[in-house]
Amino acid sequence: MKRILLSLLLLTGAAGGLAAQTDDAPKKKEKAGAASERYEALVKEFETARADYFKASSKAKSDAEREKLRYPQAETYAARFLTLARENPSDSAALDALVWIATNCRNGDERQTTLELLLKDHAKSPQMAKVAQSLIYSERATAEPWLRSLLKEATEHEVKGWATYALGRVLRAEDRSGKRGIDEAEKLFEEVAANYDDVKGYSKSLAVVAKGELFELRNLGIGQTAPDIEGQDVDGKKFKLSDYRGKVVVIDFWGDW
Amino acid sequence: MYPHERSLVQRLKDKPFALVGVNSDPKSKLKQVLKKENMTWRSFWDGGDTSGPIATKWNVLGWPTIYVLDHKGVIRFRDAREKALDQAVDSLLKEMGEAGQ
Repeated sequence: MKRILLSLLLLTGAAGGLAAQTDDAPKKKEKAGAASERYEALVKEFETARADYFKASSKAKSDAEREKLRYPQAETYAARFLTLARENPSDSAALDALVWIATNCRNGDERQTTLELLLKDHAKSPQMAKVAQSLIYSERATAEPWLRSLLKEATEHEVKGWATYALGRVLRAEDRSGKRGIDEAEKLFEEVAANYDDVKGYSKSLAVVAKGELFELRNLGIGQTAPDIEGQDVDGKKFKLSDYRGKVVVIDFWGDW
Repeated sequence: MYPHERSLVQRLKDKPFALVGVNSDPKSKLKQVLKKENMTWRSFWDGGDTSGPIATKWNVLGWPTIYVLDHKGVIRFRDAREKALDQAVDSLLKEMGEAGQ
């Protein structure tokens, strides 16, 4: 009898638990809020550390003093962002935390784990567009397989556009052994130029960015005759690059910043 | 960057060599910099920001970007800096001298 009572109690307890779970919406929301608050707090902590560093650096009176300052590397925050993501896998803060690591950290084990988690759980998220963009400057060994997998999984137009463009950029750069995947890169840029005029690139559309890549691949390679430049100097006087034919010329794209 | 460019231009002033800039600053700022840094070489003014027509056409995504052309206008080096830039230019001047003989 006792035993039955106990079981009954347990059962009702369990049922209560179940009921609590379904009724729990407000409570759950609070928890979700807590995760994103934790995320916001981490981001703020990092940004404050960076701001403090730059403030101290500009106040430093000598190079020696400046060298003593430690630059807050994003990588040193990665573990905490990753823990947050792992503890709240179904919370939107998890995705934010993973995207933060992927777009702020250049290396480290956490970054590698993050990239794997993003592919596994978030390939269909629109946020993957910025992650794909950040992969442009990664090593081919990491970036190429990751972007290829993303292209298979992604459903968002913007994500597909950035992943295609980023893969092109990664393939056109030299890998460690000096190899470049120019032919495939050219095809990828053609695809972006044709289909992604509605996606924002850097300052213009992604299609325009890809057209720039195609122009570079086709006209600005070592061994090709440089296309002429016609323009004017600071005083409005017209001149051309071809005015210097017969001389060795260094062209320097520069700005005072 | 500026001191090295100045010394390159100074060192090669009697050679068939030219440094040509493509500048992405606002015009007023460019005027100031040219004067302050004593830049004797010419720059195209590319419309005042990094999305100017020349930089866009040449797909420049990072600054500075450097191309080295031989006397026939053929692109021979890309993004050589400092010592490597000196060597690139010297090798092309030498090549040109040998071709002329």
